[in-house]
Amino acid sequence: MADNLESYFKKHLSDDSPSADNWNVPSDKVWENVLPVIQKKRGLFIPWRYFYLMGGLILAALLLMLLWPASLPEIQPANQDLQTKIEETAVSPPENTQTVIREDSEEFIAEKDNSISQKISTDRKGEMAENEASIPENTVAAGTSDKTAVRQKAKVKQIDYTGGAVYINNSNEGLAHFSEDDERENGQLTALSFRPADSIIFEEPVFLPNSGVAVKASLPETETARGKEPFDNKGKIGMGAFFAPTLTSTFLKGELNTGLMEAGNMFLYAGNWGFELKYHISNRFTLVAGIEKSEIKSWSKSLVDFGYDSSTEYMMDNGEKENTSAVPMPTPFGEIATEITYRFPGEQEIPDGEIMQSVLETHQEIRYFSIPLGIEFNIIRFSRFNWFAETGVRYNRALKDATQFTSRILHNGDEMQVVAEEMTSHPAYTENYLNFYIGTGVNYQFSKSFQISGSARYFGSITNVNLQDNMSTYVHGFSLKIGISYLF
Amino acid sequence: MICLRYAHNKAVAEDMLQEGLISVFKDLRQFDPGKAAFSAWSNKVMVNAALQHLRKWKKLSFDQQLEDYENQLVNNDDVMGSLGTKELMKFVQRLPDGYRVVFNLYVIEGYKHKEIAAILSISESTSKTQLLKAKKMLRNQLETVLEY
Repeated sequence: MADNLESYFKKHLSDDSPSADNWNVPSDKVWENVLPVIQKKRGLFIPWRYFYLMGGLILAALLLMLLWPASLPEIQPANQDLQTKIEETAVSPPENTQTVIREDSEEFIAEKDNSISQKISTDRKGEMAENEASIPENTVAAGTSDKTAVRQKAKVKQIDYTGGAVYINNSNEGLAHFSEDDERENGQLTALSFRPADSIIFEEPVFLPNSGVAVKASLPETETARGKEPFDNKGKIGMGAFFAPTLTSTFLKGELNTGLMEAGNMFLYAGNWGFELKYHISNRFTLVAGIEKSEIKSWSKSLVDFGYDSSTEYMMDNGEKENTSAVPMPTPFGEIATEITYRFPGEQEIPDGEIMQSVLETHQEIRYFSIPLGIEFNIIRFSRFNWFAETGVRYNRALKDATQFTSRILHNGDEMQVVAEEMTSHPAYTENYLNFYIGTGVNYQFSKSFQISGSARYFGSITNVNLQDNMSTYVHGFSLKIGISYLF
Repeated sequence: MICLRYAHNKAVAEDMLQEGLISVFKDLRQFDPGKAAFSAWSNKVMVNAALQHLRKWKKLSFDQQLEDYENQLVNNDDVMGSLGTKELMKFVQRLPDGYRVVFNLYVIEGYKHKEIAAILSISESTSKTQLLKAKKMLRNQLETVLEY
């Protein structure tokens, strides 16, 4: 049952009507702060659901890119017509014969040779020797132009066709490709390529001279066949540049001994960029190191008490009093010294040493020179795409900082008019700090030398960027990294 | 007024109000006119915003001793005259956070101790103790003013 005291307070404090002196009416600043939020115009605030949405869209786009080439039926319709035509006129081919490319198909052969870039690039003698040694007995060697002689290894069956190019794979295992130029250079027959027979495409039925053999069936598209053979980057070094739009936010652990501080999940944009070196330890693992310009940004709000100094108070001509107080303000990047000038009614007497309150809202940023060191692991390898996971650490050395702030001064809950505010010292943040990153992304390799990559990363602090009283400041963020690199 | 009752000064109350208004707009779809009047629903949202603000900025402490705060009782010129709402509000605002919250929830909002215990994750006995201490402190302040 409510006693007299309860009833007394309830009666008075339940009255919501505005008072004559407006002591219980909120200032206009409240609406000024609320309106942008409810109108969704605060572009800097990124709710988590937008991150999930963005991540989903990126994932969907990547999947689409990965699956798109496989779904293009470029060859099949033509091949079906061809198949019918061939079957009507075909003579039974010898056993194991699968592929023939016509005499006049030099351009066609050259084009396909280019598209099968990696194996053809094996102009290193060691690999050639290895390829030659592994050529099956029933494989036929052929040239690619009129100048190129058709040659035969000792163990390779020969087709007598000297007018141009002939490609036959009788073994269903591979095709050796020889050239006159190499023979001239090395004084012996040299393999320029060794590729699966099913990587060859022809466009119409072809008869083998001197054999009466017609090729019966077409073979799969070159790109499909290449899907089984990703680029071999083992041992290669990549050098490149990247751009990483990043959203960062600070969060606090612990409590200040004096005052209060808040740093909400306000993610702020930073445009990071840099250069990196990649060493492909194997086709699965890649070491990554580089240099980077990075930034962290922060929003915070702090509330501190300070003692009023009446010695600096003076009466203005308009009857108001003005004073300037030195107010030390905590921020996520360390305490800053401020001098705030404020005015209040002349009839108001504030005793010396009276406790005043100050509310400070800051936007800060620190720019760093960073050295990332990490590793990429290729989870799935396609012919041109790699889906990889990455992780690493980043050393950060502070270069410069910037702080913007607004302040409020209150006495017994009454707000005073702030007319000037100045920052007289910079925050004393930690100059060196470490963070880590973890992420996933894809590489797309245009050729044996060029590669682009995109990845989504989460950053978190390993060491704090500042320690004041019992409170530590940590940073986390999200970035999308887009890069290009040259492999050599 | 709700935020003023839960805050220890006007600036903090305005922050609570700001967060409360945003919550009201965000949760507007959850308002069911068939269940409660808008004023009652929005008052509840405001109280929740105030509690959330107190939790975020400073953990609510329910183990503070009254003696720690007795020296905060000051004679204030504002309360020399008749004790109006503004003066009573200042008395409430001078209470430690834990006392103030329990006092408001019990006396003004009308919650039972069991409900307060659930809202604040404290025991019923703690809620009762906090209320008693709050009332004792308020009574002392009133007596101080009246003696003056």
